[in-house]
Amino acid sequence: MAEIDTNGIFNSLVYGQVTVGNIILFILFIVITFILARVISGLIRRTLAGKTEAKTIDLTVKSIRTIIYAVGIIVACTQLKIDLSGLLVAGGVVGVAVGFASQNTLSNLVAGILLMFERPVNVGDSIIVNGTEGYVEGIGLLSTRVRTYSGLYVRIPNDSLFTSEITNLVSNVARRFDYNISIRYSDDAKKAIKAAKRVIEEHPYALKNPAPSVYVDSLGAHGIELKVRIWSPSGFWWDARTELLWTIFKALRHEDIDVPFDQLTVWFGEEDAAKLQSSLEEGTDMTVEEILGKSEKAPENANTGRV
Amino acid sequence: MPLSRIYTATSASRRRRKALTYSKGESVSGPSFTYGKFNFDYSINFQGLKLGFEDKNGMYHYKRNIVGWKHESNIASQTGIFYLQPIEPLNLPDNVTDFIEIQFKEITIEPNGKAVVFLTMPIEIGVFLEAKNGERNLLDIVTFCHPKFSLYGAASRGVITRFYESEVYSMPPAVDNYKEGLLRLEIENDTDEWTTVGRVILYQKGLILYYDETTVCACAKMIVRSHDVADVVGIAQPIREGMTESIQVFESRKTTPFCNIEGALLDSTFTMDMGMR
Repeated sequence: MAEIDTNGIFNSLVYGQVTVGNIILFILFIVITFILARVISGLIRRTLAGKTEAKTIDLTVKSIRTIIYAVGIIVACTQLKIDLSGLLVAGGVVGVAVGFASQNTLSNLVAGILLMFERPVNVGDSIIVNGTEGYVEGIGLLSTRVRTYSGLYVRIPNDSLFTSEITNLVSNVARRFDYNISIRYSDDAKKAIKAAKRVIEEHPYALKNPAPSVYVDSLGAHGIELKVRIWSPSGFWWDARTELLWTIFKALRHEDIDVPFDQLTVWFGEEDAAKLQSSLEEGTDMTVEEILGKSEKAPENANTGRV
Repeated sequence: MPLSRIYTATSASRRRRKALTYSKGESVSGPSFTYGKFNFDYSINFQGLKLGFEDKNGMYHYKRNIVGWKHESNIASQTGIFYLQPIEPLNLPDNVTDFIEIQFKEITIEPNGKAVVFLTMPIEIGVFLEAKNGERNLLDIVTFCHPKFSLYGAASRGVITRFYESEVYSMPPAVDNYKEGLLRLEIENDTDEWTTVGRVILYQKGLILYYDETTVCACAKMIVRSHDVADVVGIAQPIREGMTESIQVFESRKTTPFCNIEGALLDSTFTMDMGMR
């Protein structure tokens, strides 16, 4: 049987220095490039699905596919003995120039890709970034769109978003909100706490666990300061917050507990205090110190002169 | 949806429950709500719930009122058929969560032991329309129960749950079938230690409700894996024969961040890995 000299066929020249083997390899490289581009595109599409917008995924896939094609064609062209050194030098110079010019754009692009993987924010989240508060409308490759609570469109470059402190208000499933409520010194704080806890318990979005807490936080200048702390589902905390304060206030009013008005005690000196004492004696059994409080009988820092 | 309306709808006082057997023959005191398939000429006036359809020039007008909480809708339907079904209590006042948490008096179970208990759980009533081709559409949801939510686990990786407190019964108690359903819970201690269980968390997909003239029920199994980990899975089985399976209103809710419990949710099984008390 006659043997076919395959080496001879592969080495036979077609034109210039290009052999049949080179042409076959060229075709092989092109085919591999296309297959590789297809596989990598699919992988990227699958990886990014659900993590970012479809538009961004398309753009990313197209960009990466173009890069693969370019690299594949350049490598394949070496088989056809096409000298691409001039093109590469020119491309390098253009690349450096473009690189300098698009430094910010590239940093935004890289930040965008990193954001997609780290995912500190998602579409629909309520966030605070650099003083901007609102809902995330979309996360692109270069920028993130935020709709403020007042309906304004804000575009935040990804580089800025990535390097800033981000507060995601709904990242956790539950969050806490607080109220400060003042009641009069004449009111019973225990009764007020009980009334507040009762209405909080009735509200669906005030979570059972962690349990809400209501306590005397401080004794203020004008009244007793109560602190109310309530946990709520993150997506519904605003509903609870806006409804509960008024409900608590109404419950306190129902128990004859009221918010104190600002008060200021003015002293007119001992002479006037004595006059006040005598006048009070006519109408009431209470002493001045009973009315004004024992600590105020001889105020060391009181202005004893006439006002 | 007005929350205050839902509160007032739940104000009816609770009756003392008495134990009954599994059998259907035992009657329940108090009125029972009738679930099933009805024509549009059927109307309801039950415990403050008024519901019905009016024919207005060839188009039906749906009206519902439950203690002042109203809903109206126009319906173009040739079949004129609707269903009243008990559904999982996860739709009102909003789609907040996919999980139901029932807290009960703690039960201590011996190593490799088993306990079967009955708990009560809240239910909602779904009004479904049916088309000629059998396609069903949820028209309205009402409830006589007071909605309350809780957090299972930490805020960073826990889940929001629809919270309910229940007594523990060894036999099915008599309940108002328009407010509460029964959950037959089989607890299996798969460990070599004594274990104490005080709550169960069910995933919506695993909760399959059944009903008859007097009772609404569901079954679930809880397998204790270690002292603070248990798998809870719903079982598609009624507590007695002759009960009808209810239409399930399952839909994936975006408000429940499943990513926070990655690995903990397997189809309809929920793994309680943050304690059972």
